[in-house]
Amino acid sequence: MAATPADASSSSSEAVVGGEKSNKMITLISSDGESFEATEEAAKMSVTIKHMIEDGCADDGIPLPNVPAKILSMVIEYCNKHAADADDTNKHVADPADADEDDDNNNNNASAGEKEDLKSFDASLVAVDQATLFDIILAANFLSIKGLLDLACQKVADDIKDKSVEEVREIFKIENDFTKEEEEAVRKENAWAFNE
Amino acid sequence: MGDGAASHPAPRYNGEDRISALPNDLLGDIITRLPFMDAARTAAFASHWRQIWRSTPLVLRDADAHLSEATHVATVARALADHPGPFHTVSLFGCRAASLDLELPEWPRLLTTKRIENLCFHNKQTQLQTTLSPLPADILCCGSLQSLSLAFWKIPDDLLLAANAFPNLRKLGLVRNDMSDQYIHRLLVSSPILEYLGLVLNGKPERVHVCSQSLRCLFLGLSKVEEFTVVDTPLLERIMFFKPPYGGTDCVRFRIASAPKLRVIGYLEPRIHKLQIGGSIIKPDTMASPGTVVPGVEVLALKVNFGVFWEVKMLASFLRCFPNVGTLHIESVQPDPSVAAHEPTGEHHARFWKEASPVESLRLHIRSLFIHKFQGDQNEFEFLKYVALNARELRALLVVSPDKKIALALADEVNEMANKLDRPLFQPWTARGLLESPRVRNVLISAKVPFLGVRDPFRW
Repeated sequence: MAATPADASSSSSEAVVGGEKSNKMITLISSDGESFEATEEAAKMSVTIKHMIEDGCADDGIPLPNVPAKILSMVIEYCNKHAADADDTNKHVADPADADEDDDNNNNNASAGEKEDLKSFDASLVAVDQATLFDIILAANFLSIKGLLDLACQKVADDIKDKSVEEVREIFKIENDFTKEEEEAVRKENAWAFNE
Repeated sequence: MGDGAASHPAPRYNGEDRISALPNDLLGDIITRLPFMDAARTAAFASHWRQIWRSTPLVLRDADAHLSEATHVATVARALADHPGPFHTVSLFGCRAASLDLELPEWPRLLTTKRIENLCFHNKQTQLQTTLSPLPADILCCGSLQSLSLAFWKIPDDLLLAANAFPNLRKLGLVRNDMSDQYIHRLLVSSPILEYLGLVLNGKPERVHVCSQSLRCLFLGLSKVEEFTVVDTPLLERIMFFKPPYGGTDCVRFRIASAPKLRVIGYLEPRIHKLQIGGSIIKPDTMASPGTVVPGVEVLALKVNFGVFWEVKMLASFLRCFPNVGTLHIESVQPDPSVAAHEPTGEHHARFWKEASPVESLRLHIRSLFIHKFQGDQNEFEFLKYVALNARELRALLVVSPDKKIALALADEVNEMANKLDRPLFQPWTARGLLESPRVRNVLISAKVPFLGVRDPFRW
């Protein structure tokens, strides 16, 4: 039951650019056997799934053996939110030729309120424990959802930035398997990076 | 936990090392989001990490790294020399070429051999009068470049440029270089798949013409340029003007000779742009004719000072040049209090609009009207009344303001005005207030080019 973009103020500001949105629901099956439903539109944010749909392999549900239920539900939440946003915006801007290439499958023309909403949604989606964050990265990578992969990788990068080597090792539980000589050699190799 | 790591028990850590277990290309993705020094330091985490930075294409943005002034150039030089390549992105805003020449004389050759894809080198300017560094010829041999942005270089006409120098270049930015119009033209000819061109010019060259079989978007920050002509651009879809980061905006004669696919243009300003279409200069009394219209334009943005009657007349004239506009943005420019107060009154404006000959786009095509920074004064409202009475297809009137309250209040006023009109509106619509945000402001610039920042107009 995909809704047509509901208008807050009934008849006004009708969008141009119809584009039929398929009402079709797609079933996605997690690695632990749970089934999830998503609109075709949201599901197609995953390039992997998009190809499967187009190849006609989606009719009986799409098994995703790499993605556990907990992560799949978060992924679907992301796709729902971002697919809805990309759709909503044509309410405001009747620019029919606004089909830009590029990976900007995020918000194009959301009004400010919606944009803030999306940003805080994204931020809270990746404000999770490490294990979950890495699961999201792997799932987004496997499913080819660029926006989500960017979001999650950026979060990890933000956690590494401006920290010392020791601090990062501690945060991510990286075992230092260098011998003392090896570590010195590495630091010397990249001396310019270690001098402040 | 990484492959091949020494298998000592690690009593200090009681969690799994999930990050090292990621595929190397994802690790590379994560690292290249870091400032380049942080990225290089990851080599010291553990043996698994030792080569990740080196085996991922280099991303170096000096503006993101916290480099001290004293060691800035030296550090950049070391990184460029150390990284085996390939180079994905090198973006320099804090270096002067002369200093980099001292630290790493072979840097231009290095960029070529390490197959750089995205280069942005804005020579750091300490004083505006500094003589400009000559552009090394090797830069023009980087056939791998996909985007190139150069600022504050001297590019003499005799600098060697091969006919097919840039077979992969899609984006080109030229900011205040000392170069001729001829050379700009040669660069365009050497870039057969160029799609985005940005020019920030400050009086040099004085006359510019653009000819490109592939160009789709043109971004212009022009100051003290006499004449700018879009000569032959069969694929050009968008022309975007912005206030250049340096210098003011002076009058420029802007000619459109041939741009059959032009679809988006903005912000045009009657005060600054002497618009010429084909052979005709657009004046307040110019009537629409086949030679003076650009029929493909669907999105138009104009900046108008409603306090200057002449500009209001030009507004109507400009609108007549673009008969098929569906989305219109009008930004109201603050009236300058020092301007002579003998401008015509609101009554004059009302009469002007009453007697104005038809504006086809307003009558037949405009569906969305965005008004930016309107103050709610009478002259602005005379225009809005004209729109309300004549726009058959208008469906949305959106009032944009940096202050949400002002936007909403103004929208209410517009609605009140519309409701009081003698004639019913063609379409029922309601004005809505919208908070200005970069998204709304950049709605014309839906390509991913964050231009409006002053520091780095061409950061990508």
